[in-house]
Amino acid sequence: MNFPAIMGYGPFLLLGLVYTIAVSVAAALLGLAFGILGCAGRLSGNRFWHRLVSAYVVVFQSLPELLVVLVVYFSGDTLLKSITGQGRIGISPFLAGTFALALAMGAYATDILRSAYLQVPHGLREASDALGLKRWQSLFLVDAPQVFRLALPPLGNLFLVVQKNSALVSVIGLSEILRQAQVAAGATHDPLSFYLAAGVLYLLLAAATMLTQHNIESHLARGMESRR
Amino acid sequence: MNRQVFFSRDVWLTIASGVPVTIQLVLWSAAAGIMLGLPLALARLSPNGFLRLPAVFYIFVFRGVPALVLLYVLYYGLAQIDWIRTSFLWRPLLRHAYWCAVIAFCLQAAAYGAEVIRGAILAIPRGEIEAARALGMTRLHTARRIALPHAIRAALGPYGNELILSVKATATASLVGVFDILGRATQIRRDILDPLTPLIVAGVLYFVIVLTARGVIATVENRLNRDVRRKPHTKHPA
Repeated sequence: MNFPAIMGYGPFLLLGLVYTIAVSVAAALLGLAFGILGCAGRLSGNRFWHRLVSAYVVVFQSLPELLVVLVVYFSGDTLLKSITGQGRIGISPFLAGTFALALAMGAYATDILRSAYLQVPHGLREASDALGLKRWQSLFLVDAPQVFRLALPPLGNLFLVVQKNSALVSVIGLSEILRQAQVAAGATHDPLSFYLAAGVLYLLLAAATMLTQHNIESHLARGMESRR
Repeated sequence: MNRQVFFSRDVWLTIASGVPVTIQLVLWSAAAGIMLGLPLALARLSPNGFLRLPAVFYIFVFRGVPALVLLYVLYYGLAQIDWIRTSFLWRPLLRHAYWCAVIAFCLQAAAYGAEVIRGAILAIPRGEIEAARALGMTRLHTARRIALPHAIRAALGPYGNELILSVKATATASLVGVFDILGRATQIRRDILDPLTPLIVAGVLYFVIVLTARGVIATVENRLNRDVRRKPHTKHPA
């Protein structure tokens, strides 16, 4: 390990860390939105939406994330070229990476949210009916908090997966941790130090996420303590 | 997408020639998940801190680091250490992208497998173990007839999921030049200057492999759960 070289590239690698966090958070939010839509589609009772969501889930749970990243990037590129008729416009790696990671995450989030929704006790809905809450009120005030409490542990794990998958966006040129490490490794001819440094940064990120996850979970479970 | 490329027999055959490589990588991960995962899970569950803490550390590190980073460390990083380049492992193993990928995936699969096995061990009902011991079964007999069937059943679902995830994870091997499905697709993308169509062919192949794997896992699971699945015909009042 060449510590002086790593320290010299410190700000460079930290910029990568910022990009990694940005792309994972953006992808997680968009992926959560896909998951909510997917869950709504599956539970809607409409046959067309049910089939469409099932197809989405099975396809994106089967395809390697690396492949999805490449396909989104290059099909976006081809699409832009055919619209504008110019060859030199590229789609932003950040947008393509966010969208690709979100597509992959949404397929799992759909399953997680669906099973959480089905776990909400039926009595709660009856109670909110009895209290005269409207459908949307009961959805937002009664179901949603329960769904998120139940879905949070698996969603947190899914976010850890998204964070790791964000390393794949380096192949389309986003300057996230791994890409920055690659550049630094190329410039210094010291790949070992920089890839190890990248690994340490990913581990720190994972540790921070796990800690946050733990805190949020205990916060959301505060009303449930008496039941244990 | 280029239709002519998509319907070309050569393109399909070339990319399909990566299927055995992908399957080999998956089988290596699957084997490591059990054979390295079991001792790791036992160490993780051990009351002895000297066994448990290294296992906890190993599992945290190898589950927390992206496969791609591990692959780059092994393939690009190790090559710069002199004593590794002169060691006996260099020529047969560490020089080759394929074996670096195998090692990287096995190291990760061990960590994931250990978590699956740990969950399965914790799911063994304690009461049945006590009952077996009370009936005079030896420890070995109890492990073989009571604990193991429970644990295998509990592990099968999550282990099947890991298997599917490992099919997807092996695609990263293409980035160090392994000719798996995605590697072959990348080769064609470069040769014919069509960045998209070969990827779609590769996607179809991955999809078929994962669906087949799911089918096999579901069949095995169904078979192992015969007695649980079968519902009694009449309900006895409690």
